[in-house]
Amino acid sequence: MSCLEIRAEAPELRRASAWLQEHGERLAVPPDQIDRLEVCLNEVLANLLEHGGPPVGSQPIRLQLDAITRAAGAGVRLVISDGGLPFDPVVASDKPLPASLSEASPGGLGLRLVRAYTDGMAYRVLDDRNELSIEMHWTTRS
Amino acid sequence: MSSTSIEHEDLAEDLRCIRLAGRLDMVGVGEIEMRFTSLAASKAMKVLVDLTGVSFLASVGLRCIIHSAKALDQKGGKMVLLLGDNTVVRGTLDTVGVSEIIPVCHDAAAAMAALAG
Repeated sequence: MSCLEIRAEAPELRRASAWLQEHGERLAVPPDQIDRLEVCLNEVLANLLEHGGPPVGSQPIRLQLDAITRAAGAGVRLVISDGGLPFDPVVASDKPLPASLSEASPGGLGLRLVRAYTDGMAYRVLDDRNELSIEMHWTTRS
Repeated sequence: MSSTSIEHEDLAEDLRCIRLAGRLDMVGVGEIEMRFTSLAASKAMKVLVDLTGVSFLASVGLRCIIHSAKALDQKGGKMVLLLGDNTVVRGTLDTVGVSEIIPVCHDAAAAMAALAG
């Protein structure tokens, strides 16, 4: 298990990305899966910075990366814990894809990426903190 | 971790190439957004945005590109994205449907043809 604490500041997103790349490699996560997980981490953290409100800056954001045992399917679990305003991305709905450039809206792209790139997502509030768990698998479950 | 850069070249009076490279995350977009918007959407022209050197593309980068593409379109211009064999960026563009609304090309010749069309 690998852990990192970051502040709710934009430059910290790059520290989080570097940590994920380093520890994902140690956990033998395939490179393309690390890249996708990095997109997910970046989107979740960027969303926190934009929409987490004043509370998100008062506590560190905690990141935890775990390997998932082969019995449950080879994969990895990333847990992001923060003290920002509650937001459950699991129940938030995606906007429809735009049919033309004039219809394109800038919102909702990050959540769509996270949904597309992850194999499982769970959200809960624990001790007044949001906890989002996202999973990726690269073999089928046995 | 790579930094973010922006360069441009005017290939003709109405044809501009903008090359983005590095990470288009919150930090990187913050560094280039104003310049990119100014170069890409200030007047009606054909704009080739070269993303072959982009190593990471987050939604904040997509928003920046879409915003300028829309503004350019409203002025009567056109934007085409050049990817080369950048599969990471291609995957992101496809996932959010951007490749359906802004032409995406693998090589410069195809991009020029798309701009001419």
